[in-house]
Amino acid sequence: MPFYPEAGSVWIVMNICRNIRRKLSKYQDGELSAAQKNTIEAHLRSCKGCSRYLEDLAHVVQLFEVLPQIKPASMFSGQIIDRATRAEEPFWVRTLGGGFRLFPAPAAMAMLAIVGLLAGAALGNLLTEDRLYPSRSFSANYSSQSATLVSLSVFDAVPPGSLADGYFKMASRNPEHNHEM
Amino acid sequence: MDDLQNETRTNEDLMGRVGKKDTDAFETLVHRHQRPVLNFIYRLMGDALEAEDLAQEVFLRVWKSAATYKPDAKFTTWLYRIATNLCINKQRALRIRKWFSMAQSKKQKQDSARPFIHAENDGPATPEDHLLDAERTQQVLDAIGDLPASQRSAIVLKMDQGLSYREIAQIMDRSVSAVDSLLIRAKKNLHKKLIQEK
Repeated sequence: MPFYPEAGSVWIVMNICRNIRRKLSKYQDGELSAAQKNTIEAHLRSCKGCSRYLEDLAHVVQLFEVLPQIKPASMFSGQIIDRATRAEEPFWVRTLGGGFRLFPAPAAMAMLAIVGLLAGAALGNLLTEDRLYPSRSFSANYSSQSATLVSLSVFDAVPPGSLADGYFKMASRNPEHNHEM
Repeated sequence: MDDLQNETRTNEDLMGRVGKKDTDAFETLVHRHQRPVLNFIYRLMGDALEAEDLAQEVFLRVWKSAATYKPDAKFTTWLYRIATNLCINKQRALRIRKWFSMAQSKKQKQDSARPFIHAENDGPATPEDHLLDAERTQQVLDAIGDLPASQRSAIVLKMDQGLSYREIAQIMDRSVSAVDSLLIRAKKNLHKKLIQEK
């Protein structure tokens, strides 16, 4: 007969402790109301188990205290501002780098000149047929002769396939002249 | 003069100016938050070099999204949400990379980063003390690193940044009771790992 009340009381005590321990983390972090705090503190005064549990939680907080505080490098904010302002620049300026930032107008002109030269050479060599140099269309009978002729063409004032050759062809392209030839 | 005025402005006010691409306001904001953000990321990632890179990324995101920023919540809540999400994404990427190349251990990485840590205080007196402290720091960082991502974010936001459960819930997009559960589990796990097993 006395067994049941005793077992019941143990169960009740365990249940109370479980509920209190669930709230101890919040208690430690100062997240409870004044009434809840008073209840917890009253329980802690009479329960060694729960007091020990709170001590364990305090040890975890202490672990964070050993971690060093690091401070940012001196150029940290400067680097961020630099990156942020660069992010505002147009894509082509970001891609092509510092020269454009320092001398935007000359750099843009130089860039346009380079693009123009390359595009002109490519178009000249691709679109113009080789009518100005009939000797180049000479077909050698033997492969050795052909190789010699090709290799000698590098000594031309305007070697075939070069940038200047492309331009020369483009500039000299004349339908009437072609017709005469 | 403008710098001095910026110093007295609230975060939300500064963000309004950053939205209009005011670099002075942005610089003030960076100066104000760089250290807590850097330390927050360092505790989450356990690597000082990684922390510096990610902290820069956080502030760049702030700069880029300033125009669309609405001061519904506190600026710091928004800032730490960016930082938390970046860290989680980075850790996910690192885990995948680690899975593909199991070569480099985390320990080695942290050893290489250690010279770049600028400790706030001058540190302990003797090299032995310094070594013990470094070892202890490493153990704690490793234990934090082993926690699941949500527990790790919650415990660092609480312990290191001292934020309230409500603020953590807003940052992590969870309920206050969920944050409470995360913190209870995180504390239990850290206790088990660092105190019981010691």
